[in-house]
Amino acid sequence: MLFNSLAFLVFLPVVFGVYWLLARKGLKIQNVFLLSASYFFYACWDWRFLFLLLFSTGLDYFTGLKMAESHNLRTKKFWFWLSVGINLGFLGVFKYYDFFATSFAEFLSNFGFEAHFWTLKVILPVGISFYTFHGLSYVIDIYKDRIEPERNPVDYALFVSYFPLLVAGPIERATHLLPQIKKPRIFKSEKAIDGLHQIIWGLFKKIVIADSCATYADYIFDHSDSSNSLTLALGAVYFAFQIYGDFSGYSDIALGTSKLFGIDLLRNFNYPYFSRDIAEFWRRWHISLSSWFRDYLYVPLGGSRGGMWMKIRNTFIIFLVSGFWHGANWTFVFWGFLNALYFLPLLVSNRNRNHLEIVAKDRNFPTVSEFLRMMLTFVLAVIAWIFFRSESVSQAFSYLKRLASFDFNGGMQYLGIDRYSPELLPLLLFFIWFEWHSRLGEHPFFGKSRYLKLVVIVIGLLLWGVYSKASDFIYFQF
Amino acid sequence: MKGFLKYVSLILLTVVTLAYLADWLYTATFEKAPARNKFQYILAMQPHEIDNVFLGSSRTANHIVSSEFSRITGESAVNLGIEGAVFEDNLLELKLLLDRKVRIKTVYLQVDYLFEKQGVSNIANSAALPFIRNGVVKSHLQSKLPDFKAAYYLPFYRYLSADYAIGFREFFFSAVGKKNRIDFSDGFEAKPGNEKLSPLELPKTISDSNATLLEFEKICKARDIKLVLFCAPLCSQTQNLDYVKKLKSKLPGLRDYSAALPDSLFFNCGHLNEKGAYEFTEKLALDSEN
Repeated sequence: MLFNSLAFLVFLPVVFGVYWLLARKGLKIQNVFLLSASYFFYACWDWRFLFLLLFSTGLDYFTGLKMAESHNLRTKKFWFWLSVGINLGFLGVFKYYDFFATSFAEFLSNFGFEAHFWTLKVILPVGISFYTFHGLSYVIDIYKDRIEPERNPVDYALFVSYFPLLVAGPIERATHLLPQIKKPRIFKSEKAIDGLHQIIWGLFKKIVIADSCATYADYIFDHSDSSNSLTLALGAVYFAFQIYGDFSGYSDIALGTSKLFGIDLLRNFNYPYFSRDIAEFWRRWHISLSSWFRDYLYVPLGGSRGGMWMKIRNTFIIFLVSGFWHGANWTFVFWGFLNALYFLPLLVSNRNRNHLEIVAKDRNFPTVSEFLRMMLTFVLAVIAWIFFRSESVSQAFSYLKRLASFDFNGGMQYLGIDRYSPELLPLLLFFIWFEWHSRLGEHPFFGKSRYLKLVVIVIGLLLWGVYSKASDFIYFQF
Repeated sequence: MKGFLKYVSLILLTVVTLAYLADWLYTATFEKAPARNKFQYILAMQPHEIDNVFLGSSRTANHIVSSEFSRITGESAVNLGIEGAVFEDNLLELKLLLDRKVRIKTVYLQVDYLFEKQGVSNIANSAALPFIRNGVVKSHLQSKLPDFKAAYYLPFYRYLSADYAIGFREFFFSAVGKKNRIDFSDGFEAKPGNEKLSPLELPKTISDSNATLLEFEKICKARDIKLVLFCAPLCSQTQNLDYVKKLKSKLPGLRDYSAALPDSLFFNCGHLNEKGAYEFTEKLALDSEN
């Protein structure tokens, strides 16, 4: 069930209505209902994988309790590693086994050995990377004595499987979400209206921006061998907006939906394309994943302690792992590596925490220097997205090579053919303008002109949305 | 909760109002704008006489040069083939032509693998949708479009469901009066040069009959219109070419041009290039004179 589908349009009001009607019956029944609705939501994709989700939930719940009951460190360690091992094992089998098997076979073939490994060719269970990371953060926090284990299985299961975040995050922490699940929720109109606004904005980002850009980005990437530099630049920029609209749009719908149920989720995006350097970009892009890696990988590896080399090593590790988390392909690893390279000069010169506040916080416009920095950061991000989008590393390099050849023959070829979309470039400018004026909030619908903006966005959704082929959110595959 | 529900209702009311307004604006624009597709061209026709009408898919649109046909035969002709069309779409075109009081002597209908296709294609699902309130279009689509009711009654639904064809882009071009590059009075769309001839696969088996084709025959008989069925050229690498033989056994009057032209005249396996289209038109025109 996609957030941008008619099925969800029916599912959400029904679940919302029943949920608040049950508020009188008590928190327990409300949570049981929300959990059932979440499992139904997940089963709509493939009911068979529901068993995997249930097993993963049961495992972390059980090992969490066992760790707390352990009288010595050895036993505690046993339960901890059992949970971590099985969680990562599942992720490895479902997501990475085929990749390692084929990569190893290719590696051996370079030395003249012919190897044939079994490949599983299994369907990737939707959301596996997300709920595995939920579970991992929970068991790590218990192991490190940061939290007590949750004893109520329904509450714990809801923490893992809460439908707004189940398939593509944000990656929640037990310290943030569990207390909200355990506390009675009171309906607040302002919060629900705020949620509704965020859902509308998320739908605009997905259906109008991401899906429109996708049509053109896909076409250009598929024909990159015969396109000139200008066209390829256009394709890369379209993809940058596609992935931003897609994923941040999904996150907005997830956060907005959750607000309807009186629960706040972690913010996942904070206007990343207005960043003045790549370090700021990573504080604003997929925040819940970046902070997860920071807290559960970077810090345990030694973090910033232990000198510059340690810092550099750890930074490269988290970017490479983060890239690999996105998918079993070298393109993602290279994307992570490239971002680590971008990060390096800032790290070495100790300037990686220069821009903590949003740009031009108390001004309408950025300074020339800020503008140029934002442009440079955007260009760097776009170059990295080429690797993310390409089918293989060699296709990405060939795309970049053609892009850098400064072949302008035929102008923007892609704009000259029938598929030319006159609305798309002005639409992107309009979107950037809207985002710029919204950068102090989570969505644009605040201030005196909020109703006018709402009407404009609804018109945009009607006129410019792509409805004929409701497409999956990109991050579902991760 | 009351305040929230009130607000949601207000938003829904705004959406519905805007949808009504947009529906009215799009429909009015498509109705008044100069034709940008062959459906609009037919709907704008005045009563007159056409000797020869060519109907089919892109294998008609890219293959028949009406002006050349007229030059050879001395008869008027128009190519109303539409890329991606199936018999149902062509039948709707014929019904609209007759409704516009266009008198037709001969209809040439392209028959090949289209014989296997039942139901309405994306063409009827898109180009005809702005005109869904036209009596002919309505009665044709009513029983065939799966979401006819939604398209007919829900404001703006039809434009959302077919946004790739009648969405904002097409509305914008229609509103600014941008003309299509095709001259609809001829209707021929040339394919340039040669692409690699990847084999085209014809069906292995043939259906017993095609209900739409039977309806075609019925209408033409009732209106005293001569119906000529033809199979346009296919490249030599086409797989299951014996399908055309099976077609001929079912439709004895079928004019078979499947092997009429050499591969050098093809754009791809199922489509001739411009030179090939002229040669094929000439063959068809000379055969019609005999």
